[in-house]
Amino acid sequence: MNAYLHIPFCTSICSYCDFTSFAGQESKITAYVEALCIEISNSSLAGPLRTVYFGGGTPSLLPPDQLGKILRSLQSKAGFDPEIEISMEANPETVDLERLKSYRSLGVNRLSFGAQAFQKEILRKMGRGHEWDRVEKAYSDARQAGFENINLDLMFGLAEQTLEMFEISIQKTLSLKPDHLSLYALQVEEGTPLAKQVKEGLVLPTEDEVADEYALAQAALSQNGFEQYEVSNFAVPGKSCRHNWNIWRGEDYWGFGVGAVGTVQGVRHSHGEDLTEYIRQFKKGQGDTIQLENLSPSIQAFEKLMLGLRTHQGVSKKELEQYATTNQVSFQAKFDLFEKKGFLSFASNHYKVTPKGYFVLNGLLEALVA
Amino acid sequence: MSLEHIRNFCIIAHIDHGKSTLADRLLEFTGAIPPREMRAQLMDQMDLERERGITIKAKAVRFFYKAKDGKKYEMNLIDTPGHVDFNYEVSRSLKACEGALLLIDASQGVEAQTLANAFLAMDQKLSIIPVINKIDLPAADVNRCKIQMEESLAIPGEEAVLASAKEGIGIEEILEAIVTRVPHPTGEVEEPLKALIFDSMFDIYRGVMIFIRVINGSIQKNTKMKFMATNKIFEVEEIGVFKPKMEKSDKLSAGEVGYVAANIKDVADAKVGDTITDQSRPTAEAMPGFKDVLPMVFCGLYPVSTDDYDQLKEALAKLKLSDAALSYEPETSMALSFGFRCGFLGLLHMEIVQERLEREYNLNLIATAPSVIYKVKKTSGEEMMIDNPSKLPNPTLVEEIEEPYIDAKIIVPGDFIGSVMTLCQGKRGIHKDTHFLDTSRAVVTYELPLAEIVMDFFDKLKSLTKGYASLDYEPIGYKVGDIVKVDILLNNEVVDALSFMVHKDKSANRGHQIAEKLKEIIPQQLFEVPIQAAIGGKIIARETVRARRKDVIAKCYGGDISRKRKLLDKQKEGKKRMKNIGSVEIPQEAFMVVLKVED
Repeated sequence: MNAYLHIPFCTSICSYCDFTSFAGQESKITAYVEALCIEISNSSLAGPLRTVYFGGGTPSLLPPDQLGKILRSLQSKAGFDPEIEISMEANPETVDLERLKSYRSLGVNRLSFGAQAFQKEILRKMGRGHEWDRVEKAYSDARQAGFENINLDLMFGLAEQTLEMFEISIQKTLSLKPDHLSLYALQVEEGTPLAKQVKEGLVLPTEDEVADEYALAQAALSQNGFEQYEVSNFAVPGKSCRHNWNIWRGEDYWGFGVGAVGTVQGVRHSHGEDLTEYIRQFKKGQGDTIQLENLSPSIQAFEKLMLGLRTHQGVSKKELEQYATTNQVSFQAKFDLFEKKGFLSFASNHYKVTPKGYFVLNGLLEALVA
Repeated sequence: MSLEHIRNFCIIAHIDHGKSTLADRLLEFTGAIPPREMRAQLMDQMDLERERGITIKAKAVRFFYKAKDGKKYEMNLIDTPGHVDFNYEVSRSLKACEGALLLIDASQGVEAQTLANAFLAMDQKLSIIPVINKIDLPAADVNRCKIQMEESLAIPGEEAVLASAKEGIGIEEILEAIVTRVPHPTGEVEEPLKALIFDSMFDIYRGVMIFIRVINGSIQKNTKMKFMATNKIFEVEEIGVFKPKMEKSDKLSAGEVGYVAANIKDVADAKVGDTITDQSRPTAEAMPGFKDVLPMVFCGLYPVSTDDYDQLKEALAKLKLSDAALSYEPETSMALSFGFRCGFLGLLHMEIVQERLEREYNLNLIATAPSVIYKVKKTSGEEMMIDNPSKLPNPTLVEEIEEPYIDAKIIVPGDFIGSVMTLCQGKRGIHKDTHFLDTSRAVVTYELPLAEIVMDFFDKLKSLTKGYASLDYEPIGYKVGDIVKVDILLNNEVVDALSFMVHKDKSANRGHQIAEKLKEIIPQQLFEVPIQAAIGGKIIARETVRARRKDVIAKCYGGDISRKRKLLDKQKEGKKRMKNIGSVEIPQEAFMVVLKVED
């Protein structure tokens, strides 16, 4: 079993972010953790847990004792697999050596730092609260604290970011020798400060420029021994994120906390986005804010294919055919063409999206929509 | 009612000169309908007709008028379509009358259809009562109308009745003029039955209802009537008149107008212009002038979703019940799959049918570019009529191609004569005549290829003349032309639904424009899409839609999965209105671009 825990607190909100996150609410951390632990203990979560993922928000705003409470609550509820992966997202400016050591001693064994870009003017524009030196400092502290599995997040397609600037960000990142890199193209999401800025005339790179950046990253990372195992994720061998990987392979996962989503036995659950309401409900032992979505067999099958094609594992032809027959989708001619054009490869009865295919993945996946 | 007390008349006018309003006022004034209860413009029955301000199908209404001479008269008002596409129907309606109100808008003056309809009425030797309408408008110029009448129609100005149908001015004068100036019908009740079909409509309970004018004899329930052109025999089930509500009556006699129902299933059996007689005692001769109306403009109509094919088929069959002039036959296209090649009397008719299909039958249609019928002489000596460019034989087998021409009369203020002539010249027109109606307006006559009219002629004419020009045309036969077929290729495949016929001199320009427009309309695909225009194997224009470099490169973690899935659903849904040609996705508008190019 896998568990995702959402920690919605942030010191400030980044302009592009549309995750459930709240700035200036750190005083509610204790109450929130209390509610979270009640949710965990009242749930039907059954272990052993093989992965736990703290996402946010900024999970590194959790004082170590609070993190410890959550982990104990999970362990007593479901038990931990001996090989458990416990991942945690962290913002460079929120951690120091001591805190990282505490996290490590509580069992956290994978860290993911939001580095995003090298240039400070770009970081400022995005509303990030750090500069590059903080990234380097946090990274070396983490190594010193004993972390052997560290991811850095980078973004591209940012305002005022040239191809050269992005290349520098990549090189600076690679020089740190991280185990894992997540690369995100900037998305303008409705309701974010960024969306407003764009409406007011903020110019973003063109489609061609963004494509060039993605291509540059693919080439640079491949040269440096990284494998692209998913659209946005690259890892040195053996260091892919097991939590996400399990989910992409269709395993069940529990979501806990406001803004968290999980899927267990064909039912997707989510928690709404109201922090105060979440705390109020779960402290009383109620879970009224939980919303359920029943996933039909055909939706489950589709999601499995959709996620499978996003990864380097691909999907088996047999599975595709089964889905296509049940849902009356004719994909074969299109897939043949995609293969011919180099977007897909076909070997040992598996279709895989090629690095070139990742650029237009939505266009490819559309062929499978009933 | 004795024949002396019957008046059969119609109202003829240019579009928007107030025909329907006048009809309403006549009915209201004589008490046939109570003033406030009536719907505005009662004789236009379909919403669509009302919206467009035109009448598609003629109907006959009977009302009674007590004249100043103290006698009561039976008045039969026969409404006529006002558009050039329905000329033949107008002529049949006129044939059922002895007189016509020629309605002229005092602010607009004589227009192209005023002339065309007046000449038709004169041909039928009807008594014409000119009515100058809308005299209450500030822009009314009665004198100018009188001068134009005299100049262009040789009708003395003093004959005109001045009226405002909207304000109820001059209505009694019009009714008196009908009584005193229109001759009563003549005919022998004792002679064998002879009646003219001047209109028909389909009623779901009664089948085809025909509107007739009885010339001689009488017709009643159970009469075994014979249609002289089609030789079909039907037994009369019901006879009646519209007053304006439908009312049964025992019989219709010489001089009278009314409707007949005889459980006729197919509108093609009861053709407008045909003569009805009594099978047991037939008349010797049918009324002269009957002809089959033939469609002149064709286009392919395809359902956007192939699932709607049966619905389209049913809808066409239903429309055809009440519209004998519409023709259709199944057609397949590589690009659009299954649909119908439909024939229309003209452009307006085509627009009306398309709109009715979309509005009344809720269909989502793709219409291909309108085409005329080309006469193709093959080298073998064989002759073919081609209503669809894709049916054109290989150019090496074609000796020559003839195209239909029309005689177009355009009435336009003097200031615009130059631009109208430039337009007609550009449309390969042959100038025939220009003469002034009065000091300010002229009639410009051109011979033009019909194919040029079906492109963008109306719109151009309107915009060039700020809406002042009016147009009327009639077909005058075929002439040889240097006509070629241009194919459009997407991704190196011919898209048959985009092929068109055009004069060779215009082919390169039109090919370029279409290729450019398609480049704008076709969204970027996963692959590059070459667009070519070609005559035979020769490429005359070329454009390329670049391949899409990237779509959304986004993360997809546990919380994103539902959203991602829904996004893909939406993406696919958005493409449902696209047609797949080979591996290329084309939006519907692409099939309309051929309509939007300009010379």
